[in-house]
Amino acid sequence: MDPLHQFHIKPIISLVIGKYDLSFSNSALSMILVVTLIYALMAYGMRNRSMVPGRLQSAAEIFYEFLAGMVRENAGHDAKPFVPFVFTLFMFILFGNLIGMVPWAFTFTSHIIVTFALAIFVFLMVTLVALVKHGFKFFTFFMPHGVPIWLAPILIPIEFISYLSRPISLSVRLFANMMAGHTMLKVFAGFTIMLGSSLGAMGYAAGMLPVLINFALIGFEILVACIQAYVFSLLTCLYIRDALELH
Amino acid sequence: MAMPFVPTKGSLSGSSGDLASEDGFPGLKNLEERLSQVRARRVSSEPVESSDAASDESAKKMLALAYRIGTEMVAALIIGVGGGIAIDSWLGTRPWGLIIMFFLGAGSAVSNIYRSINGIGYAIGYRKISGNDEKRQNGSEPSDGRGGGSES
Amino acid sequence: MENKTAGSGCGGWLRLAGALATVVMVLVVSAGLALASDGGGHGGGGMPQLNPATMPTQLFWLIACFGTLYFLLFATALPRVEEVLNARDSRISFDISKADELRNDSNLALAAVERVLDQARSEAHDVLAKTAHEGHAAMQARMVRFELEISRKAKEAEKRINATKAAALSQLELTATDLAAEVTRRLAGIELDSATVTGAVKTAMRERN
Repeated sequence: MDPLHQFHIKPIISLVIGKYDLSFSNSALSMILVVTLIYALMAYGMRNRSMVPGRLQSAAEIFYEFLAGMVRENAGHDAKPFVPFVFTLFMFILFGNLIGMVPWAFTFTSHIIVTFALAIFVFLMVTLVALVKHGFKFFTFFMPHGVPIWLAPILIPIEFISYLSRPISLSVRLFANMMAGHTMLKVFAGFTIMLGSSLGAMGYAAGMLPVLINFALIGFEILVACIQAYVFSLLTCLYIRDALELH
Repeated sequence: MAMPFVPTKGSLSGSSGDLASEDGFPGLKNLEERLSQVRARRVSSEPVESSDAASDESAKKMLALAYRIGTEMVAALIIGVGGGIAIDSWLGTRPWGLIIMFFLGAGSAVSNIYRSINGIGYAIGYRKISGNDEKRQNGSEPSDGRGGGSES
Repeated sequence: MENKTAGSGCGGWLRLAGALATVVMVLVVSAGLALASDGGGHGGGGMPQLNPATMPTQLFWLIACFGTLYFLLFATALPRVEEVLNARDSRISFDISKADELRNDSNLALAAVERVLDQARSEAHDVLAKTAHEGHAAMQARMVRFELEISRKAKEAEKRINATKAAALSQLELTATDLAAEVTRRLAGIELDSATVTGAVKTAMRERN
């Protein structure tokens, strides 16, 4: 009874290109499902373009306004071109987290490689924006302002590490939260099975307790799924702001 | 003989007189109120929706902050230790690279946490944040806390 | 040991599935199924997340899916949302300004109505006052005329009565004179001349009166 079993990548359609295994796996299936859901919400929901929105259109608009507002407030007005990116990022992570709450569905955000790829993309994009916008002036900002020069050999590496730790913290946070939550659910569910199979009828009665805990945990996990998507995109907004303004 | 038929001023202002009086047209007055309400709401909707939504938003931000702090430290340590090991294997300076980088990583972890808590954000360096920073999350701490006192 | 519990968990799952069918149970059962279907097939060995063999496929599909989603949203969905939001925004501001305009119009119209009403009211007041005044004057004039006529008629009637009275009195005098002369002649046998009788009657009548 391995609670980590749910994180195994299982190929569905085998596809090997060169020496790389690019099989269509359960993770890819989840991703495609998520893309389909998001696009369905945004495209089908907005199909009427009504002045007075229906339910789906309202949902689509609320998501858009929420993220546009988030970008405006946290990344500044200059960051408007980044709204589609932050929107895609948020929706992809949010739906990826939430689809993991559906039985049998795979949580692709519980894999460090996925979250790290997203984070490193954000990191590289932000760094590139800063470099393009500010050129080599970018590097002067690793030196804190108004600090004695002899501290520079210590502070510049610290700042640099701090900067490099951004994608790590971004990706580890999301991955760890998603993985911990799902493992916890599986462990408690496993308790029920174990109690039921080993203790018989009394075991089923005792097994209700982990079920109740799981019930509460599922609510908590849904909250965590939303918050993690929010944190990820919020930090992306802050990074974009830093890149644009370079205090 | 008195003049019984001479009208007084009031006797004429019967039902038709209500037309122009203040409470005679509730619709119009209502419209005026609603218009000013709508206008006020549209003006104010740019920065904050309502106090309710604002408190909701700040609660969400606090929770988000709580989730951030832990990983900030871990991430900086990972970079420090990992970088130290990489430097060692590259330059063959074991164990000095790891030791130095571990302490630098720890310093970076502390500064990361300090900055997430104080809302300086993730700015490179500790420069004072430009004027419109009040909108930045956790932007409530005093401005001199951002500038100098960062060598903790 | 893990395999053993997982294997017996399969039987436990079957019995459980038969007995309970709530949503919560479905969740638990799904976990059980996932566990039981191939119990620890990969033989454990750490986190699946750290298996480098699965990384290329994840990265590949992540890039493919994320890129596709980004371009789909960027190109089609989000402009549509923005368009709708902008349209609604401008529509609302248009409606507000229109409502403002209409409100001003109606205020103006209301003021005009009020002015007209005021005017009409004062005019009506004047007319009524004038009419009442005129009626009063006409009535008084008619009353004066009426009184004059009445007094004239009364005087005429008086005159007629006086004339009739005088005629009746003179007739009475004659009759009384004749009667007195006749009575005197018959009773006393005295023949009186008419002048004396007349004088006596007149005196007597005057005394009576």
